[in-house]
Amino acid sequence: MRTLILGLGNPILTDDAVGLHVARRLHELLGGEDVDLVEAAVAGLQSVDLICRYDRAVIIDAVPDGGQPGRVWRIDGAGLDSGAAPSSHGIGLGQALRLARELSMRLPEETILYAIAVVDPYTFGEGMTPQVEQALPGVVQEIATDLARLWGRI
Amino acid sequence: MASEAEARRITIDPITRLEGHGRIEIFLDDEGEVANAYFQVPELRGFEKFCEGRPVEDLALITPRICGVCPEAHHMASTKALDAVFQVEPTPAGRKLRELLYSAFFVADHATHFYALSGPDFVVGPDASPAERNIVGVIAKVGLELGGEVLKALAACHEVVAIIGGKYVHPVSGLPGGVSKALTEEDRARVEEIARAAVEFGKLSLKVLDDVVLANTGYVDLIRSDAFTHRTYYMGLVDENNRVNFYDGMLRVVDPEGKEFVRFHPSQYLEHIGEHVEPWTYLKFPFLKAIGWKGLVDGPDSGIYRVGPLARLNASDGMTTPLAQAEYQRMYDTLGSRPVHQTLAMHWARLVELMHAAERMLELATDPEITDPNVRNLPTKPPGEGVGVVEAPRGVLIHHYWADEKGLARKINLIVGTAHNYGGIAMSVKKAAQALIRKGVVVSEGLLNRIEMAFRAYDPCFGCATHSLPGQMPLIVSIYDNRGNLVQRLRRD
Repeated sequence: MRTLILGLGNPILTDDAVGLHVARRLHELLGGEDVDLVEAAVAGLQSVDLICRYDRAVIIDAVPDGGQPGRVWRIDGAGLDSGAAPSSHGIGLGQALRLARELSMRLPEETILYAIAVVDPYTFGEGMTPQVEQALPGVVQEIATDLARLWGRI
Repeated sequence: MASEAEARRITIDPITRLEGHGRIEIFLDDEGEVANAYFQVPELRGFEKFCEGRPVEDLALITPRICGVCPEAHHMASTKALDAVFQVEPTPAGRKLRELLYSAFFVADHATHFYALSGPDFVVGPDASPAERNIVGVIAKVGLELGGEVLKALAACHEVVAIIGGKYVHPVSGLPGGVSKALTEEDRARVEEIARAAVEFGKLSLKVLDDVVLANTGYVDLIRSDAFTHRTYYMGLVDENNRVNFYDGMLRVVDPEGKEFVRFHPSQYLEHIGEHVEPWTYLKFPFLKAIGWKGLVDGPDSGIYRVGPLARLNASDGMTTPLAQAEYQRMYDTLGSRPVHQTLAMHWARLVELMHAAERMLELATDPEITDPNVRNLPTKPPGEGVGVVEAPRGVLIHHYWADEKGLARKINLIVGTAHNYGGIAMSVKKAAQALIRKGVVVSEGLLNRIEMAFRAYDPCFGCATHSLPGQMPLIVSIYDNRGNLVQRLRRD
């Protein structure tokens, strides 16, 4: 069983990088031979390209206006398919997954998205805000525990 | 942890959610007609500052990070700016490899726009419900087989970017004076195979245009309708024979009659392009200095010009490749004039260009020089100031760097495709609003769709116009009466 941990985000856009940091630490914590780590700043069809070769995928991303910094939202199953209105450019992950399914593309049996509430994903800079930086260990622990509950060991 | 049910109520979409809401403010006059429409997008901060003081050659890796939609275009403009900063010309093979990568990127980017973004407007229909107006709806209409072809073409073009650029989607191969690695014969053969398939895919896409769009008189009328027409100047990069070129050349501007207005080397852009500042938006409006800024109006006396696929064809005398040239001719013959001012013809122009990019890819993949190992001239001169310009899919992309004697970036200036089109987009949004708001009565059902269609034609990417990431842009439209009171607010998340 091959698993992908996919961190999404822009490494130079302050808190937007949180998905990359969390993915890296999760991989250190849980990674084995069958667990790959990928860090990317892509959306829609391109993210489907990245996950389609795996049996299971965990995607970690940042979300503004998601509540207290470091709050973790899990979205999976039907929740992943919803929420993608027509966009000005690019298509969302939900639409891309639906399209891939329509076209009978190979997809992971299970895909889970964790979205982490952040403060500032709008300013170019290499560090994260102190609030998100402080929340980081707790976020990693929370997701690791949740994954262990859902999947046993990965 | 928040429950899934709770999570569904907030809109979360990886990467694509960053732009926040686009805001459109519509002001009515005494009669209840549209007096003004303002289109604003949220701002990302601090990009220029972030770059200052860094080694100037790092900018070819940093600037593609502004935006996830066209990192390849930023990498290319940046690499060319670095050629100029270090006063070094790429070797013939280096230059051709850059252009080959760039052609593959153009095929993928234009195909994404046609099928995933504008496709829903034409294939599913402008008045279909948002639930159907998406790529899944397009596939339901045109068939699964074509859907598979589209995805295959996209994946193959990304593979070319990875082969030549060294990395998936975010190329890293461009260096001042050339590229970092040569193309092996084995890789060349694979690229040629992909290029041949891309040419077939271009033909297939033109057939889809014929069968689905042009065969439907309703859509042709929509393309020709006055609601999306502006008589502006057009700017595009052309070669020595005034043929469209995505990678290099001179910037040529034609007037609303199609006559050449000015033709200049891209490094002279500051002499020709001014930037107008409005208090209600931080995004500046570029305009032709020789004409001047006359407000958000079209016509020969207004300095507003447009860029992008239709503008490139309008500003040129044709294409260098046979299939694209034939389609170029057919488009102008069908629409009956040149330049074409109907904004929605942009979608047709995009397919002419997709065809050209595929043909150019094949020309370069079969060029005997493409596997030459001599891919870089090493820079020997001290760094200075440099401008690099390419055509991004959505229009002229300018990178301008000033480096100090140690090679650190002192200042940078970027003007991106969507910024050049900001005036045009603002006018198109206003016209769309005018068509659906009469005597104070708002046709709220169609308003959001039409406004979206108006700006989607430009394939705008406020991501990099405002230095943010791309993607889904929820809209809020606010309508105010002649006393400035809010009378209605529409939103789509």
